[in-house]
Amino acid sequence: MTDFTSLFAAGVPSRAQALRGGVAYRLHRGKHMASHELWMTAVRAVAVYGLALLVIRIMGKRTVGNFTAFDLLVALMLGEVVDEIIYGEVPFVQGAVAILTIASAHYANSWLSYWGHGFDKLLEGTPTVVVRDGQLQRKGMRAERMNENEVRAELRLNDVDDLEEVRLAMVETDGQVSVLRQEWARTLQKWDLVPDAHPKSRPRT
Amino acid sequence: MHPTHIAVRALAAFLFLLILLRLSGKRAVAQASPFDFVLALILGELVDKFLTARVEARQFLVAAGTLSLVHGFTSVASHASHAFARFVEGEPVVFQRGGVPIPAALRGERLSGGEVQEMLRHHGLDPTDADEVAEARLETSGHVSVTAQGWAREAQKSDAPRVRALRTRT
Repeated sequence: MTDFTSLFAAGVPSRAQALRGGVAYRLHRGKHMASHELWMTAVRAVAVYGLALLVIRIMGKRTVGNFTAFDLLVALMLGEVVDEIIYGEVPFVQGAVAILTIASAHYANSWLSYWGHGFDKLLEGTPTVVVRDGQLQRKGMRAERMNENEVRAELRLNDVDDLEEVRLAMVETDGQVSVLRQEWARTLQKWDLVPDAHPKSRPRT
Repeated sequence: MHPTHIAVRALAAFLFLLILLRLSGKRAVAQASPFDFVLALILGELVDKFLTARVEARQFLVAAGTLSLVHGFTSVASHASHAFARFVEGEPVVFQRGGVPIPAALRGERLSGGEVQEMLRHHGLDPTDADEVAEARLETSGHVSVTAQGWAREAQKSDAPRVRALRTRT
């Protein structure tokens, strides 16, 4: 009884189904979707595209490139609103207000963390030390729920195999692990070879 | 709704999106700009309504197709015109030069001192090593690039003769 036209129609009865079951069809707002509605869908899609572009440009580069968990959440939130605007289930203005409000809140958030030290820590958290001077820091690992294998994997991803080489490894607020090596384990630099190359010739240990 | 209907829809949507993605020429998430990412999110949401038959196939096709078309158009246009690319993607911002932060740039991107330090740490640099940085940039992709001062660049194979020369002198 599967008729092909109903396969790709919306959950509301298609014309063919409607002829069979009259009432349900008449309850639906009208007939098959008018071509006018399809055009409006296209127009709304273009408008939403413009709006999304604007929002992303205003929120700045790091918002999406340098993802924190919260940035991701905001992006998901914006994505959720947008499809209903395109399909015309929510009036464009309403949807735009929702998007702009979320975007402004996110923008204000980044201003607060830029200005205030307290806010900085409150909104973004602080990095957690997991290795210090070659020693695993159990306290930090517990706080980040990382075991030794995971820590070592993160170090390997930073090209460090030997724990001894690590001066400081931290889980940063964006969830990535940064590794600072002991001075002796750092990559050889030009001025290590020709000390006078360095303007200040700082002593190296 | 019959489960097979959903299966057919899912398959159709899968193929359609696959075609769109192949046409867009993007291969990896890493290549994607922030905006690509948001568009992918939007497309995902559009599909969702189609799968569960809350919108008609035609409307989904039009919506997803239009978005992809417009996006394709902007990427072609930003290749053709620098001004347009600047408008769409913005420009890289140098926020630290020669170990000295540039306040105006930091304010513009709302980068706190803590965040700058974090970015340098991701490049294996302690705040005390900041003078090794020639220029630190926030690229339009949102990634941070760090170029080292000439003297602080990594040693290269071509430096070996100089080292050998020093050794023979002593």
